[in-house]
Amino acid sequence: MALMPDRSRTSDLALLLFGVGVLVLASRARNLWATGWHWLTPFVLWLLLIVGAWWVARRRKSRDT
Amino acid sequence: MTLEIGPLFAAALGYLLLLFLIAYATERGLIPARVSRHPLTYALSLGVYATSWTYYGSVGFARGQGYNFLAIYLGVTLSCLLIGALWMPVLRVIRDNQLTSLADLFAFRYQSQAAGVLVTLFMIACSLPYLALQIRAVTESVRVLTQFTAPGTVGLAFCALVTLFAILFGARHVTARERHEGLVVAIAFESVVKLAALLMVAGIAVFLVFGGFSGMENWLRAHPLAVESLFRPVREGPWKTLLLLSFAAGFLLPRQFHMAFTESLNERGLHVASWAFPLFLLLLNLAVPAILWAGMELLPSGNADFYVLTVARRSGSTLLSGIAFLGGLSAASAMLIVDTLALAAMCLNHLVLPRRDLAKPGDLYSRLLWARRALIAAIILAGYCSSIFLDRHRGLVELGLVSFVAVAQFLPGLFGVLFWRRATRLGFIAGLMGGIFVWAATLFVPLLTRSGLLPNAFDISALFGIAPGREPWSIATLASLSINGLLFGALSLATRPTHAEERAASACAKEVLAPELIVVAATSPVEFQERLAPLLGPEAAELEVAQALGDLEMTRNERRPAQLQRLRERIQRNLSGLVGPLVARMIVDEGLRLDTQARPALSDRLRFLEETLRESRAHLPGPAAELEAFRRYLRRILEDLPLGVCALGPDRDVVIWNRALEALAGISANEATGGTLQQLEQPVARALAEFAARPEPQQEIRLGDRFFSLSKSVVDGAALPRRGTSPSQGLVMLVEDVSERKALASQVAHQDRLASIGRLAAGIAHEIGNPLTGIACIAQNLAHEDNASVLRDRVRSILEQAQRIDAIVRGLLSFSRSGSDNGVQEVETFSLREAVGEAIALVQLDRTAKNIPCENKCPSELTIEGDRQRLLQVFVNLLSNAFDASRPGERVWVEAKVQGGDVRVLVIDQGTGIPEAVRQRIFEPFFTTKEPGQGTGLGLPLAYSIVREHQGTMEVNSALGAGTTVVLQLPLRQKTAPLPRLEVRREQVRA
Repeated sequence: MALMPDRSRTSDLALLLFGVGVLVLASRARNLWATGWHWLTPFVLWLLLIVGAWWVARRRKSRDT
Repeated sequence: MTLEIGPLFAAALGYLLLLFLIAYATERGLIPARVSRHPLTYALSLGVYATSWTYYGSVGFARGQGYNFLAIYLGVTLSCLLIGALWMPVLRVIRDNQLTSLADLFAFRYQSQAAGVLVTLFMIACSLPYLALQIRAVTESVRVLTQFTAPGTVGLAFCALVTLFAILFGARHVTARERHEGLVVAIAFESVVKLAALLMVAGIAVFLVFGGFSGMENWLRAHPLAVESLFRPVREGPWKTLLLLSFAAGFLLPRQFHMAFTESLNERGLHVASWAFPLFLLLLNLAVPAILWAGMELLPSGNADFYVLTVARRSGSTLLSGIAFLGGLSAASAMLIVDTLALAAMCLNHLVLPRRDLAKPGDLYSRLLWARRALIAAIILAGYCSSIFLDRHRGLVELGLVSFVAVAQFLPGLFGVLFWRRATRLGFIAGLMGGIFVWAATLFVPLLTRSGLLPNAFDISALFGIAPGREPWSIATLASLSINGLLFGALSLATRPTHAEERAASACAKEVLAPELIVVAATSPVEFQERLAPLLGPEAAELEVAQALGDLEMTRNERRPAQLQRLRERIQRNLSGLVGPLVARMIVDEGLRLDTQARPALSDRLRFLEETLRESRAHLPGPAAELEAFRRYLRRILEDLPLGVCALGPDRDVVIWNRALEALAGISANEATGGTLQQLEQPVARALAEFAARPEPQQEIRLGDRFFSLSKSVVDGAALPRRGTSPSQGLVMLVEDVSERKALASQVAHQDRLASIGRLAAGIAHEIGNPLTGIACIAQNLAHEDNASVLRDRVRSILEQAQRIDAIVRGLLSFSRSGSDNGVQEVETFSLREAVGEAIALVQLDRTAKNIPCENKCPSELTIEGDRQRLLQVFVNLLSNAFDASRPGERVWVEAKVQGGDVRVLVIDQGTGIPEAVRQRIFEPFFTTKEPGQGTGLGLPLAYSIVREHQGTMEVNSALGAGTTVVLQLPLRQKTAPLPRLEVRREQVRA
């Protein structure tokens, strides 16, 4: 019979956030924030990613319930 | 300020005892479950990722590589963003298949013992430098704080305590599948301790070294290169490589895999961890720059790896220095404990058990537990030896990255586990070996040569372009992963996955599997136990079968093939948690062989398919989800039908048993489906089995005081899934409760009889009145009569008249009685002539019938079988109609003759006949041509119904003015037995 993939893997928001994270942290775009104007910059970016992860987890929880 | 070794050792011992206490309190339930099972506790336990490398080494790494140290944690954060897409599927595979480690996962997916062995050996090899790093961090920290110059002793004592803790709280349960809550809470506590300690040291750096944040800002302005040197490596260094490595390490390192999946609470825990774990890492790393700058200020030329202790000592407080030391101790001990547990489970399942006879005398579980404990001690000892022999001049981070690059080699294999069904074991093993070769050549061998464990000639890292003094991580990662991925992809495409691999791949991808057409050769749980005993030992076999039965809520009497197949799978899963997936499979394949010749029943396949669909319902894509919803809707209709529905498969196994039938038979669908009707040993099931075997498409049965109509239909084989060329023809049976209809029909018949008696009332009065008058006259004369012979004569006359009255009353009573309860046929053999005569006598009570001669021409020797009283009603109704239609002088007669197995009864009159228009409606209930109050319109329909019940026919031949002949064709003997009376409790019968 036809195989049915597990759709729970494709959480669009989480993937979008991951894409943004990769773009900001791993692409050449990191030269924009790695200029050294303030030592806290990477921590702020990191915190923004965490807030995004919290928001995605919250949405998933409300959807599940 | 120098600390004394004694108090420091006491503090370390006290701290580890506190860990014991916390773990013990949790296991004993003294710490509330809302704390121990809280998702944040689970998220904090993932903080085992932060080891001595983080605690001490991050500062040293930041000194040399700037903000590159953050990549080690930002990669984990990126990995946590994919918890739903990456971690969750792994968790489900682990849970569904009772796996306990990464080696289990790969061995299960690629169905290869070699894969399990390779992963285990590689894990041990790449973990030893990491374990050594932790032990060395502890011994070095002691040396920095106390100037104590016997690191071997410190390391040994530390290892002994950690070994004890790991054995006591990490190997408490025989199966690694069981969650160690004490361990989880203790590791979470350690995360809190190291975070608090590091933040405390950062506080010392900011407030004591710089005099506050403004002081630190001033220092930074005075040292602009301090910030610039942090950012430059991000732009120029191996930033992306480190991101990739930590992305993999975040969940593939043995300790991470163990805490994230084996000790996982639930999926909600993972969702919380997706943000809480990165937040923990952020807070931890926020302290690093301040400590680095303070260290640079205090000890510019010192070993930056231990700036944490340098800064803590700056406070001048023994307590604060001790706390800083304990933070490092907690980071190291947590890693050692969890990593060792994970490695011990791998070694046991993949290196030890495949070579052991599990059925040796003695307690299998106890032996497994002790084997795991011995392995824990051996691994920690190996880590301790590594800490002595490995290059003491290498930084902590450099040792850790050797493990990180190694762990990244599992990424292609994991891709095959989760996303690529085409991946094969050969591709995985070849790819991993290629990756291991490059990793060893570029990182591991150089580490051993520099440590003096191997001659320099073995160092071939230059062949990969790694120049002395240049960081090797980027080239090592790129080269090893490229070769790994290339070999993995190419060889997977060049080879075909085996059937077992395909099924494992589908199970890993959580795809809906077509039920496998297999039947277990063992036919009962007891037989399962007997067959497993030679492989596991009798006690373990009994316990495992009992455990699986309990898990599935089955009884020891279970015989249905599909259920036994489920039991086999459950035993394999449970054993997988005990001895690993491949040993479990070997045991089950050997002990619980499959009967390859047997054909699984349709009900088994249907049931399995429905269960699988139910589980994967939430994940079906659009049209499939709609189709599944529609299927469930149809299924619901079938389930909720007020008729009992029982469908049999081609093998006569029960496929469908709906709710109405559950209530009727008192057997749940769960019990009924899968087996045959005969196996159910229940009256309703027995009646259905008998009905299924009969050729008649319909039948009525009696259950207690209720009546049910059974009907059946053959299901065309083309609609059924079939195997080979075997015939497949199902049967569906409907069970309808007809008790009320029967009761109504009986009531109508009774009303009709009463109506007939009402019509005869005048005649009856006359018939009874005449003898009574005669009796009265004779009685009056008796008073004056003395002659004995005359007296006897008169008395005889009175008796004759009384007998005449008695006959009339008896006839009326017989006719008017309501019959047996609910109109049941009471079959008896009786004389047709007598019955017809009785009917004529009744009808002739009507005065209007006096002038119509009626003749009974039925042969006196003719007897038929049937419900006499109901057939009498037929004759009364037919004769009443005949008399009504006849004029005085016209004759009515009844004749009968035998034709084959039937008797043909004719009720003939010479009356007016029936017009064609009327004849078409004479069998309609309540249709009558008589005056209001003269007829009910139920006589003929009722007669017709009774004749049909006797498997007879009735036809009316009539011509206007030429009379009417009603022809009854009745079987001489009833073909079917009286309705079966089944002993069924009343409450079982659905009203």
